Amino acid sequence: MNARHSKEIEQLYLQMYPKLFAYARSVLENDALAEEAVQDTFSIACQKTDALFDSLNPNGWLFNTLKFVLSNELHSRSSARRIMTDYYAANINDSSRSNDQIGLEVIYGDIADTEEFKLIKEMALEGRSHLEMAQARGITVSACRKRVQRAKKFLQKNIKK
Amino acid sequence: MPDIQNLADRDFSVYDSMSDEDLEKLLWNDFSKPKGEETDTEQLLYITEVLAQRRKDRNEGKTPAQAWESFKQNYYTDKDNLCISDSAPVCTHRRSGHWKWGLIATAAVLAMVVGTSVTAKAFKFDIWGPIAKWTKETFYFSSDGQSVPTAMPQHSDGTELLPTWIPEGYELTDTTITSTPSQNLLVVEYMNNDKLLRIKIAGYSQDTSTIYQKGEDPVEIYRSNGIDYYLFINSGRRTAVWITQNRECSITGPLSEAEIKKMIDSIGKD
Repeated sequence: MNARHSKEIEQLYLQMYPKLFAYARSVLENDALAEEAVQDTFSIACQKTDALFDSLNPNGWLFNTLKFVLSNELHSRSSARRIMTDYYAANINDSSRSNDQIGLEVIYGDIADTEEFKLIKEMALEGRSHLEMAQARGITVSACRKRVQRAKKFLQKNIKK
Repeated sequence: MPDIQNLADRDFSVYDSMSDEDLEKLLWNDFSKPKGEETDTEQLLYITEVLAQRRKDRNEGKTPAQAWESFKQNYYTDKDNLCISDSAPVCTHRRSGHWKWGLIATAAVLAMVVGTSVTAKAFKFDIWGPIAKWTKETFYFSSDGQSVPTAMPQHSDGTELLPTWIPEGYELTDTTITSTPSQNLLVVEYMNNDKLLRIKIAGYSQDTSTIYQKGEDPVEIYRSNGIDYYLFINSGRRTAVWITQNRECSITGPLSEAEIKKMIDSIGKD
């Protein structure tokens, strides 16, 4: 992205952030998630400056992109919630048998103790944004997103249905 | 989205008197509409401007300038990994580097955590060592004898329990330390493309043990440097679990038997 576009993006950001945030907030009902959706929208805008500034309606382009981001976000969190549901369903099915055999306080396998589980639980049940989860772990937002993807694959593979 | 309308012909003042809740419902309805039936941009701009102004009047949330700073710092790097700002970059880069650097950094943090952790009374592993038990599907340690409260080693950072040899191709991607009243946990992760290798070192404050899932193959006991390591496989991932220095440790990953044993043999060596 060249210096001219960089300045234009900044001006557009300062002008449109409050409006895009209000839209995202109406859909996600969470300030941190709404802010992140707008940040992701402008990340896309920075990568597609030609499409943005060549558009007859840059504001409309931003709203369309935001909706795309919001759809992806809702889908992603929905899949995280499904993983949690599968985990708890499997735990209920197995816990009585495990308790009879062992008589110990049971943590289901090694799953609940894994970083993957904690990450997806924060996402699904606590509604944390990638930025919040990244800051808690001292990693970048980008690294956190990758971890979330890997965590979902790992849990989907290892949680019994 | 339709082209920009002639604003002079349109009156959106009806939205000025609507509540936040009703305006948000309108936006939610717009989001839910099929493509091609959405509200036009000018209406969206008006509605969101009303909500934004009210939020600003209540001093809620970040200002656009604050959000912009967060954007530059946390969300945006261009394709050459340069930051958007003209000033000294506050860039985000994927962490990499020799695996020992990560461990040294981790050791410093863990030393701080252990130094301020719970008292000696809270840790209750049997001084004669917990007993390994397993069934067809699970593995765990049991301290069902006379459990004796045992202190966590002072100034112990746990890194001496980590393997010094890692299979080729793996790169350190994360170290995480969790400290709660009931648990101190160090997790170190390595990645080789999409293959994940995890090493965990946990100090527990209650008489509990992690229950590990295992496949039907028998558990192998591998002895190295005077410590018994319990090896088993679950869903294609090989696991080694052992108890040492009042900590329950594990290695888990898509490893061959030779690889996991070589990792075990490297513990405590340069």
